[in-house]
Amino acid sequence: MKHPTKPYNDLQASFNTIRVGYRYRLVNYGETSVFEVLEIISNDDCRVRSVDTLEEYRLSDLIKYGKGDDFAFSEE
Amino acid sequence: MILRLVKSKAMLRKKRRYFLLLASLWLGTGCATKVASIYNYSAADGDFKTFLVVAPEEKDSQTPENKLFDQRLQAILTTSLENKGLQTSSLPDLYVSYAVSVYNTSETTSNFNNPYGYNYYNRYYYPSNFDYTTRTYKTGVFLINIKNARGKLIWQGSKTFRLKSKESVQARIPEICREVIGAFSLPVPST
Repeated sequence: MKHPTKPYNDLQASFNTIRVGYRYRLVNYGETSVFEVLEIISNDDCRVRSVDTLEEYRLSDLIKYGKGDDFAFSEE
Repeated sequence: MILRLVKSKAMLRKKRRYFLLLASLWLGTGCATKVASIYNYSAADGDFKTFLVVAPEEKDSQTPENKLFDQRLQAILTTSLENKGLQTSSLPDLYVSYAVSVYNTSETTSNFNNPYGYNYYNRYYYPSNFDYTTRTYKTGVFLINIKNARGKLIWQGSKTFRLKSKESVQARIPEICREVIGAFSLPVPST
């Protein structure tokens, strides 16, 4: 699937409006992850693939230790 | 001679019409975002006849106005899917859910377009706050998820929208909801 073009800059995102095929940037505890959504598993979780390493993991893995003060989630 | 003038005027009018048509087409398609939708064909293998619109979780902070708004969206989804040949059921083949997220965003643009940093009258250019305009607006996403009875996502449609800061979200969402669900079509059963 072709990655959709982003219409607006700095579009914030929320976990309940995650879209398959779109790229997101998540910042948590000083670590930045850029990933593409592959599949939605449940209402709050999905299977994603890292844009940098092509590693596949779950979105819940990124927040399993909670959300830090720097937490930010936006469309890439 | 007169005939030539009349002909050239008619040509100009035609050109103007084409220009206006092209401009309106560009404004119509360039300014608005399209509905983005995906089909998960591996999960859409059944013959779907019934559906149920699942309401978002009710929160204690939800006002009666918001509840009415939710009911309105559910009615739009129900009507649109019934028009596509599906029927409502408490034990459905398809579960339809929706979500909206809206954020306030600000955009700062520079008013000074001179690439040299100064102009003829103002030789020494000192940047100040007056040279920038900050506009606030709302951006958001309206999303519809359609899952099968096993909970697998079979269709997802969404639309990104942008509103003026004073524009009401509740006034625009029903129109966007109609547009997104309009992009859904029943999967053709494989032979």
